[in-house]
Amino acid sequence: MNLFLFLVGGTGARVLKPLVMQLAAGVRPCDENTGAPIADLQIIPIIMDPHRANEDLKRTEDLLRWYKEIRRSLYGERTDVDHGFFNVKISTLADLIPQKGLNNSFIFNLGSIAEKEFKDYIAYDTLNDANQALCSMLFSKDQLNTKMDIGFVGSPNIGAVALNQFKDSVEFREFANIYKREDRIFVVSSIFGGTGAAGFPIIVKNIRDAASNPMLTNRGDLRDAKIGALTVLPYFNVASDENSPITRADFVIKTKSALYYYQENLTGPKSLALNACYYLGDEEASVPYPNDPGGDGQRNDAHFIEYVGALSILDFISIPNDKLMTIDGKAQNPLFREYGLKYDEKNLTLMTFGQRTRNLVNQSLVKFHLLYMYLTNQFMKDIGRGYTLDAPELRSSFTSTSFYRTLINEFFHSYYDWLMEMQSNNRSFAPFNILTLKLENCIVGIPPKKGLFKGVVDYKTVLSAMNAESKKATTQSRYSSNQLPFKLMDLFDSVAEKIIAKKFNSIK
Amino acid sequence: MIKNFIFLALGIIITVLYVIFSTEIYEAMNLDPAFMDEMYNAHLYSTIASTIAVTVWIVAAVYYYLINSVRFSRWYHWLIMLLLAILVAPSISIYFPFSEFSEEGKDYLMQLLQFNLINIGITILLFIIVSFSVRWWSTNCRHTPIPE
Repeated sequence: MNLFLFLVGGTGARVLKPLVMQLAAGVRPCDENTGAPIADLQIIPIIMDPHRANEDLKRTEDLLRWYKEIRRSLYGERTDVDHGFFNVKISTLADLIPQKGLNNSFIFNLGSIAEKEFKDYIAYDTLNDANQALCSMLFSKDQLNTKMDIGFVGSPNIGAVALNQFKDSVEFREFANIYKREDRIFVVSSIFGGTGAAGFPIIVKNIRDAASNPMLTNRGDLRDAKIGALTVLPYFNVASDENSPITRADFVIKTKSALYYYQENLTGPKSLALNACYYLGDEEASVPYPNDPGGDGQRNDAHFIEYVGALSILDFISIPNDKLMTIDGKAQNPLFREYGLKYDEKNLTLMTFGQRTRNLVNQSLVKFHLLYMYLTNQFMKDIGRGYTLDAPELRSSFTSTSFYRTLINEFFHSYYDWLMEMQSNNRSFAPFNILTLKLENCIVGIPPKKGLFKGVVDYKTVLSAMNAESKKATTQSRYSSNQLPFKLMDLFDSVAEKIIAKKFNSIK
Repeated sequence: MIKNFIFLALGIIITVLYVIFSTEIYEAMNLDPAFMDEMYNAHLYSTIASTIAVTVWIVAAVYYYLINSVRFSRWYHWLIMLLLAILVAPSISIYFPFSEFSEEGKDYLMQLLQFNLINIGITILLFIIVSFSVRWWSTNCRHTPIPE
């Protein structure tokens, strides 16, 4: 199954980051009915944000690039991998149709928007007096003068006009051409800003209206596509700044207006455009982010709401096909879902989430964190010992491969920042004790099980378990000499699972 | 896998050959003829060879399968076990002739020390061979003292 994931605006890109982390950790959505992992899953993120200089967008794009590199080193271009770190394949649209010469990027090309001021985009100066007057009524002077390379600055009314070019773009045409009936579409956007609030209905509308678009070849399938969406309600706070067009007070008003609009055009009984819609927000205000309409790069701390938002994507993937039926462009029995924490606390840990979330992600996240700890603090010291000497050998030259450098220097760096940011935000989400070097107290709130003859969990425990697993693998000739990265990650995956089952079995 | 069994078989064969041909081996060492005659007559060569062989195999098994720890898997940990074998095996092997000759009032102390040096060499050699024979199935020490 291919999931085309449209991420609109700043929140879209920020929700993608925890999704990438969860996928890196090996979280694998399973069919709700059968419990089997979704086969041949491939996610194609399409980020729609004209604000290319947005720091959060850049960070997410980097993360995606690193994920792709690491995954390619582990599994090549295979999609039939159903467990292990980085098991889900993430591709660009161009990866799916390399012959079409599309830009090999996760970011949708909105170049013609980003280069212009809004008034130039609508050719305001060429309009007659009556139309200029109408435009002046619909758009403020500031909005007409907005240079859209910083996004739509919280103004969905200009975004709605500018993003309408979406349906005529080469990318949309190619997406439509490769879309297959068994694929799915998911749109992530915030409702209280500009780009997301405007882009979401446009994307859904153009997909459902595909039947009337003669430029597309796959119109029937697209019209009846299984579409899910995450609508993020206000969850973060911005510092007040009288010179900025963005204020927290506007968030709720904008949300209400947009919800009314969505009810009329997307979710209500008249439209039935969505098969599944997820609403997510938090009344608890975050640590105030700098009030930056876009000029200074917009780099905001990660927030647990984005983490939960990413879970909605996994949830949508696990919904069986029979619950996502669409007939003549109308979703049958659409699903509407919200999310509640098990405990309404300000300091969240892995145990604050409900049972379903814990079952889905906790074990994988803990495994990934143990991997992070081990590779960062111990692996180099273990080279030349035990399992590293089993064929194929993990020598010190392995640490200068691009796989290892990308994982350690880039991906794990980003992972650490992500954890740090979520921890320092409000609500604070601290699944791991990131300052400790010891494995035994690295999971917040979950000490390892201790017994009379059970030792502590430390790096020696890991080495010993890796040795035992590698011995088995060597006997079975499980890894060939060109599978060194896979050997390391696969061994650790099995080992971490056993350590968790033995020592941290209360994480679920 | 087959290679590992070949190494194990070689280790066993060499040990058995050493015990069987212990008399010929020690006789070839060209020690004091009177001392060698006494040793031969008392059938001590095979007793000593058996003692050394059993000690070496036990020490190796303890290291590779009982201790079998990542905390004790460096080459110098293996060296400690070798020293232990050197300490135990020749000490036991010197005990039998020493008590035998002492009862008979014979003084072969210098010869026994020379004989002990030979046994230390044999213990070292045998411990290396036995290590390479048995280490393959150890979880944490299979690459000790040197990588496979």
